[in-house]
Amino acid sequence: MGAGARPPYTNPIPQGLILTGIVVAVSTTALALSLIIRIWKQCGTIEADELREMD
Amino acid sequence: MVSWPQWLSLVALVPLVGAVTTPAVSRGRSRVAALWALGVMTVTSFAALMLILRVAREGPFSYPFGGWKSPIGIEFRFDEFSASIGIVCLVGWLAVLYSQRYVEHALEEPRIPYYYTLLLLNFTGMIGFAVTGDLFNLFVFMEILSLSSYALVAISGERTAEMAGFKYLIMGAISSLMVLFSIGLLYASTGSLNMADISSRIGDGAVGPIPLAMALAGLTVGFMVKAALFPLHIWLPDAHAIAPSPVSAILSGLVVKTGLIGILRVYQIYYGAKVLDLSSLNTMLVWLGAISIVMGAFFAIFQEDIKMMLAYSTISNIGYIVMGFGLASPYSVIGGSVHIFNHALIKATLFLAAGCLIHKTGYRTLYDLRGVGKAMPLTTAALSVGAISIVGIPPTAGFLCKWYIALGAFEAGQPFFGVALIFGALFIFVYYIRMVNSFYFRQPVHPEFLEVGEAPASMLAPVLILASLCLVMGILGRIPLSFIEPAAHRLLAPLGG
Amino acid sequence: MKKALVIVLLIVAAVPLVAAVAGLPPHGSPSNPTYTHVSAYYLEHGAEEAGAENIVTDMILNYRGFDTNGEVTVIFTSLAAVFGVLLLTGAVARKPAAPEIPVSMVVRFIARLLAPFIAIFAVYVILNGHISPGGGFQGGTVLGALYITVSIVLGRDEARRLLPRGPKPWLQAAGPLTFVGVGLLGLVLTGYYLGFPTTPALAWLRTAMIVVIEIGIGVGGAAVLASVYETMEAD
Repeated sequence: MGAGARPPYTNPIPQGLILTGIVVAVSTTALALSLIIRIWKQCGTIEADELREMD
Repeated sequence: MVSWPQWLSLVALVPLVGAVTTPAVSRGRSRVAALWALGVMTVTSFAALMLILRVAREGPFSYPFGGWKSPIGIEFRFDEFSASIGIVCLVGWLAVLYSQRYVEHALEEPRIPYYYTLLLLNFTGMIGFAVTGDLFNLFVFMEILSLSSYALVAISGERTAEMAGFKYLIMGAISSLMVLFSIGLLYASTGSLNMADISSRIGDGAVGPIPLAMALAGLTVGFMVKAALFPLHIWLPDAHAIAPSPVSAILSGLVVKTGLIGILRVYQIYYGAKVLDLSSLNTMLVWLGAISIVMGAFFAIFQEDIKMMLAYSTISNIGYIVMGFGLASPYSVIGGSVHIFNHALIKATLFLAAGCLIHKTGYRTLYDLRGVGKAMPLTTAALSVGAISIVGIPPTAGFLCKWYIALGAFEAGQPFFGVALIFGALFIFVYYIRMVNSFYFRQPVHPEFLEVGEAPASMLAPVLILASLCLVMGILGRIPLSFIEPAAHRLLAPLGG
Repeated sequence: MKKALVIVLLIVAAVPLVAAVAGLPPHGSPSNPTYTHVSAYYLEHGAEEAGAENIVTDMILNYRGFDTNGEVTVIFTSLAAVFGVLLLTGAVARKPAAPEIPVSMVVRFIARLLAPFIAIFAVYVILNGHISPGGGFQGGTVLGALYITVSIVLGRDEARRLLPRGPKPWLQAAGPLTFVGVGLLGLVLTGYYLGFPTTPALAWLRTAMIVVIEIGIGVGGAAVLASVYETMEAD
């Protein structure tokens, strides 16, 4: 592919940034789910209102 | 002319590689994991020390990744503020050493190698955050740091710890989102992600002020959550008090400071560009700092739990630093920057010493720990040194910074805040007196722990090293002050300061 | 009442955000700095000097490769975090005695039939990332999803054989490790970490390095996804 004959490309940077954003979101979600699993096992509920009463 | 080896600039990669290989190397043997982590931190500390020496000799320098020049590729930018990697390595090394015996009883066995992995990742995040010159790279390292911090808070497996970790995660995720959105705005306005490049491009005046102001607001608020500045501090007391003690020392001493380094980086972008009038932001920071000082100290007085007390004291000290930045006079910025360093030393001393007490006696409230000074004299002495330092009594590390911030307040023509600072120190004095009084001068409630003796050497040594550093830094305090001075002047130069 | 308050708050928060986005340089205008500044350089030189036809791959693995290095570390961090929160003493010994949910024969048959095709597709996506849309992250996710499918439909033991205990910790760290390996190779070749040789004679090596990173990301991402699922599911 020569330098002159380029099809109109979209900007690559935001695509890369969004990819990173997705990866970060997935990772955070994995940890959040693990914590929810543990809280559910220990408290028997994951309703915020009920958890507040337990404290 | 000394030639500095290129690989030193890859300092963030050492703990990164160490972290990802820890589970594979240790195969579940916690002792191997501990030694591995200690070795990794030793190499990292060496590299960090060399880098700081280089900054001291030659001034700031860059390392371009892949050889791509700065706006095209990513660069590491080492300047005086990046020297905070030194304190990360020092406290990190000691915390890893301390952890070895501490986690034996505190954590589930299979989690221990991952505990060290998370610690090393945490250091990776902090080091990368402090040295990167690229705004998006900053975000990536911030996420490594935040994710590992959330997990480290919850790792003990107690119900309260998991709840605290979850709260921290939610707050942290919101702040990350704000930072990411703001980075997006800055990118969309300038087409660049390099901080220095963004600064010069927004200085052109081609970009409308609304996106820039919004990005500034998002970055400041996002980093304020990470730094736990009032009123965004609500996640901090639980998370820092309930986490395992070495983790508390790292979170309180180091992790919250990355939020402050972040604010400094934002300032470098915006001060240099001179597009927005930042005086209202500065006023806000000064006020929030002052409120943090007083609120943190005020709540700390009413805490019975020793670690909870230390956690509130962190909020108050973050207030000092932010106030120093907000006053935007050379003295106060120097004082604030050095207090990042000194507070890390002091708070690590306090949390690690408190961890020794809790580890040996099993109690954690001031009432239960009465008279512990007789049972564990060295630990209690270290705790007292930390207490004196944090109040800011002259021969110790805390004094010079607070003095500089107070001087800065007068220099900036806002003596009121100098008074607020002294008022806050008075509060802090009250609650540490309360602690020292309870440890030394009250009859023990639980006489049985008079026989427990000191903590094992690998836990006591870090505490004593840190405590003596608190004293030494009081005497040698001028060295970091003069080291950071050029950076502070460079930061404030566009303001005519 | 509470809900109304939340809605009002959200609207109040949305106003400055919308105002900020409205104040940005116009989207699609040729003078927009996002088109004229850094990315213009990528588009002009990417295909020649960065080693991949796909400019997005050039950008994430070569020009801004260090970001992606950090990104795969974020993935590994999530694995360490999940293990740190979920692992329990004796959980390995406590073999899953719980009966697995019976799955219909049709589903089992289809899963068995499709599994190799899914795997081939994943490998294709990973290996083709430098030419067309795709790459390590996407292919790794497909591979990880395959593991989850096998685990649900054919049973945990069947799935566990796909991820043997011996190399498991190395596979989980494959992303960061291959990245650092290739980065250090670049350090040797060009003097810079993650430096890719720019001479035309070494164009093949450039592409090879990118493909190796893609494979590392794919394997590592799949291993992390699979392990995270396995750990969560064991509870």
